Amino acid sequence: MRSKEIEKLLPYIEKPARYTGGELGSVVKNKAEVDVRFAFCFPDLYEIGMSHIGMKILYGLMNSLDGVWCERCFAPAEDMEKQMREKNIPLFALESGDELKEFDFIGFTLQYEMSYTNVLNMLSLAHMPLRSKDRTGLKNIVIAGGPCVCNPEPIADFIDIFALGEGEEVTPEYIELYRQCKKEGTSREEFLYRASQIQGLYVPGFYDVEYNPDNTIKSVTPNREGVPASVKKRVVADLDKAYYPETFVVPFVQAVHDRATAEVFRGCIRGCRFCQAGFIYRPIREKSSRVIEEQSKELCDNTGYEELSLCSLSTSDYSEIETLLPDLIDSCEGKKINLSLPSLRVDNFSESLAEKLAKVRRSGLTFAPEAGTQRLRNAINKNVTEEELMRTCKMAFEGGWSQVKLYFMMGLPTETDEDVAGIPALASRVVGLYRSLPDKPKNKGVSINISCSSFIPKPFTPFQWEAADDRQTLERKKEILLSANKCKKVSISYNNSEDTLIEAVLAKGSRKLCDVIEKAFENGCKFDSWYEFFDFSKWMNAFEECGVDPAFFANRKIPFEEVLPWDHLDYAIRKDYLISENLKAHKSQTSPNCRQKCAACSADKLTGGVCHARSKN
Amino acid sequence: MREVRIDYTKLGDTKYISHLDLNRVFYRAVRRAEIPIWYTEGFNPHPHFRYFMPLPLGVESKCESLDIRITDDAFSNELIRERLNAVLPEGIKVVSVHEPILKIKDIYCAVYDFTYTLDSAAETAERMESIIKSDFLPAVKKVKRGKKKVDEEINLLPNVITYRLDVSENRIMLRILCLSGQNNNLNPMLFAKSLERDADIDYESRNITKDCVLDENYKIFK
Repeated sequence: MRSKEIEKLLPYIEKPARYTGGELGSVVKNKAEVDVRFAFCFPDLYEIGMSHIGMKILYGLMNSLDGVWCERCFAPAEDMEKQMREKNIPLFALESGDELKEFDFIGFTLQYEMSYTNVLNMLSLAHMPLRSKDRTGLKNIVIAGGPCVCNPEPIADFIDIFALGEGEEVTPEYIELYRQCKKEGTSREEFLYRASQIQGLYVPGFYDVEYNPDNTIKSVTPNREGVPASVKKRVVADLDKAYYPETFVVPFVQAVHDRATAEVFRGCIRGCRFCQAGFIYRPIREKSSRVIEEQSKELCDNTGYEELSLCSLSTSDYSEIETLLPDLIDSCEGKKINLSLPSLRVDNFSESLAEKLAKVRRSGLTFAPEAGTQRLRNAINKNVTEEELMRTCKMAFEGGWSQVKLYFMMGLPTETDEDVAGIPALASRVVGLYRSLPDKPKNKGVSINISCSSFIPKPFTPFQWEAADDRQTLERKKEILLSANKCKKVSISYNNSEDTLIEAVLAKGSRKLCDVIEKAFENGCKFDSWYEFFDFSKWMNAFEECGVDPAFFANRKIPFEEVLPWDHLDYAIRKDYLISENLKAHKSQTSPNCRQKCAACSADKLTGGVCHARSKN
Repeated sequence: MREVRIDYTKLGDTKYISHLDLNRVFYRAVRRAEIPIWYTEGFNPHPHFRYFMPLPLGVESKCESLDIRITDDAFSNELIRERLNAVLPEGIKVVSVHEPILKIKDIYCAVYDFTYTLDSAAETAERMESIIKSDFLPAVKKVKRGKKKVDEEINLLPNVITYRLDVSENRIMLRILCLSGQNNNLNPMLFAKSLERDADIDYESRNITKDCVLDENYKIFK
């Protein structure tokens, strides 16, 4: 039950419905019939967390299990946190209003590195010890999953178990193990040990890291017999048979993505060398169009959502797209559902599909060339040519669009000043294209928005050994970018070099970062992904106080033979494949996509040979 | 096509659903209930829902109304009520569905109940009563001056028509009849907060519920 103190606060809090639960689709169980309680924590605001599809899947899955009750918890906004701290109210879960200390599992999803301080803040608001070693008893097991877990070392001291890869199969397994241990009355340590025997579960406390005098890693070794030297991620082999929720919690407070979402496939055939998602979600596994259609219909009927979106990387690569899209367009039209489509590469579609697509209302046209010159696009293996971009823009302009958003990155490996200047140059050629068209929209000016983010090298990509540009270099390149833009119709936005540095450190850091993150949190860092909250000086003070040089992690090129902080985690991608892709990048050579030619990355060893890039084509 | 009025409650935690969010709640509920609603014709079809006086956040109500348009004249009011109640969140309950009788401009006043549980109820109630009797309870309200919004001090009590105060051991129940029309109306949350400040009400729990809406002749709004 929610306490009277919270009740008294709510009328004075912004958007109180963030904290009350009770939404349609939220699950309330009888505590007497529940023996495992799980608090699913998203380390950001309600509106952000409620947009996340992974949470919806695991929430539904756990609540479908007898005796298991999964509830939700989000980072409270500043006004709520202030009141909670003043009145000493501990962090609570939405469904029961019970404080987190009463839960068996405290599960975090780590979607972006800049949410790490929020994880600490939430543990602290829950009145729980921050460090794993200070938590005792078989209760409050802190477990974390999500993409960032592929290098969890920077927060290894705070988390008891990391779940690598996909959660659909491993979650019921460790819950069952926990139940067993509770029955036997085992210690926390014994439960963690048995958990370490399950594929996909990494218990960082069972590993010792040894360093060389220069702070590079000498070795990571188990400190307990029977603990595997390397932990392999989990994947679901057959997505058609995998659990998918029949309904979502429909929030009262509007979430960022407040809509029904159908997952189409996992993995990506493209192999863009900067893209972490393209590597860590391998192998490619598609759902059949029949299953996607059924799941979409069920979700829309049960939630009443007026919008449906498709979820995958590079959705145009779905092998049954020519079947799926016409069916969905037809069924959505009848039910007054907006089908929200990602930027599809219309030029690859049949004429009849393109015609049908033209009828679907779309908010904007976005395109991601990622780099300004063909040379650099080849180096990052973004196999988009200027011709293709121009063809797509031409179709869009002729179809009545006059606004295009282009995504780029700055600071990519091998990038020269000419590559940076090539970004606005490409955009102004799109403007030129528009002006040359006889059928352009009347009375409308063209506008091209360039959004330029800074490249951050990420683990398990061919660029994991690369350095991020330091702040001076990024600032200099920003000047080039802005001064090279001569066209008034082109506007440029970019992100700041300060967040880039912190994210780059957290992405590739070792356990030496744990102290820094704790110090940053103590200094008051939280909501680092929100520009209103991000405080660079507090972070820099934390680095200084801990004697850690951020440039060592962010701006240093790592030799191939060096031990990486995440080398003991197995994401089933051959390292020599990543090395060969890296070498090709430096020669500006492209690689064919997975459908054209299998690179034998070895990800299919996790699925018994299943990879739909191959077998479906 | 016909227009129907839906009378519903907004009790319990649903008092924290803002007016804007409530519209989405109803839209989705109507879709889940498969009620044949009329959509605007145009490039972006949307349903036509009309609400009356928006309820302040944190105030419960037994007497909210919403007008919707449905395309199927044969679709009965009773079926609308049943279907909606099956899919609405707990706390929002359709009490009746009927043809609209009064118009929005007919709304004149409303009854609110303020219930406090607290220690020293008798003394607090005395302080409350003396303030209400003084006919002066100041509050700061944001008002528009041209394009700018400025703070203005107003007196809330002229909008209170009459009141009744009941006190038991640890409970105070204040019932007020106040103006609630389009021109003059009392914000019950602002009233409660101001009274709590001036009468120094140190409560354990508080509940504000809108009980009914009346027209100028004190007839229940239908």
